[in-house]
Amino acid sequence: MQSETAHPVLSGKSASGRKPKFGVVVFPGSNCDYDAYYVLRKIFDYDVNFLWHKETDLKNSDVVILPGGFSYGDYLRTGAIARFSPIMNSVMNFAEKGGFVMGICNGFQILLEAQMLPGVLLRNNSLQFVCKDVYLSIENHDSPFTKGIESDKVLKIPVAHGEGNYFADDATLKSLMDNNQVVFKYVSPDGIVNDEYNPNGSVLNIAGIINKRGNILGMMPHPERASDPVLGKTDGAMIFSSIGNFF
Amino acid sequence: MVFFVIYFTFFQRETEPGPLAPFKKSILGSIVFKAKVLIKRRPSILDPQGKAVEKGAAHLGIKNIRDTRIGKYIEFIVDTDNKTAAEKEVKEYCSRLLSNPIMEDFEFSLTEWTPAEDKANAE
Repeated sequence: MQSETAHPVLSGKSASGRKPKFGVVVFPGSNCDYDAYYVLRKIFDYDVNFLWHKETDLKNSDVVILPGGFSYGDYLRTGAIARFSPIMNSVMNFAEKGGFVMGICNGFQILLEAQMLPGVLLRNNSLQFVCKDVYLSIENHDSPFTKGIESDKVLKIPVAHGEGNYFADDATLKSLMDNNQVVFKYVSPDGIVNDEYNPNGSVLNIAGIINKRGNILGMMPHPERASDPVLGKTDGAMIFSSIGNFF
Repeated sequence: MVFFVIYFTFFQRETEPGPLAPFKKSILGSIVFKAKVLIKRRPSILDPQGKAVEKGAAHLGIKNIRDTRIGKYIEFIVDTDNKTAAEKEVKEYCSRLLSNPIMEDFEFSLTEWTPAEDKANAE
């Protein structure tokens, strides 16, 4: 952190006093891997390792991040090829044992292709790549990724994607709602769910979901791009802080 | 007898390679399969790309177009002379990688293919 003043988000204390270890997976075409690494190491002073997609060792990570980007050039479908990378077998085993996995943007697309989360991300309904700040309501305050965030907080975090239009069939949506698996929704700055503030056409304005067990989070917005005060917004840091303090 | 040999050489290639397989190979080159895969969006999934393209048709003055839906066509060679084995691999390729069953359906055809045809096609 460059500035002398205290970071607005770094006040929380971890449950055990232990700092978690993070792993950031690097696929060919990942481009937010360094952003995630920078935030976790420089802003939070966590232990972070890059995990090359051809490796299988997660280097004792407590939390594995699948970063944003265009893995394998988005060929075939977003995330379709990355999902068969050697590292993904380890990530799936890790998640099955309860390890925390966080997929951001392309990472979310990969989690869906790997069927670690339900549903699919279609082309934005505008057919345009959308890159702007959006507002997110927190629909599930019990997840380790959101527990530390005050309940009526609306997060301002940027999105940058061409395929972020979340879709699932009615049965899947019902199951997501019944199990409190919708974590973030696109909303207006004062927290109202409407079409105007839905950047991509996602069904029910869904911006992020979690698995039933609560250890695999997928989200389209980029919290790592809204964590350093130098960039003028820090709401994204609340998510990293929440999962960091969970340990 | 000659007719019988010709029949078995050229028309009986559907299943396991028969005792005449080496003979066939010597005439035609090794036999493999060409797969042609069609991937379509499931009917319940909106296709904004199809809709946008359809608007282009209207701009061109082509009036009677509706329900444009855009899919993918993929072709490849399956390197075996056993059709059952080829079908199994193509199905796995289609269902696990080429298509996503949540949003897409696939169909495919398999036809016999010889390297000679490949060459001719390339020229």
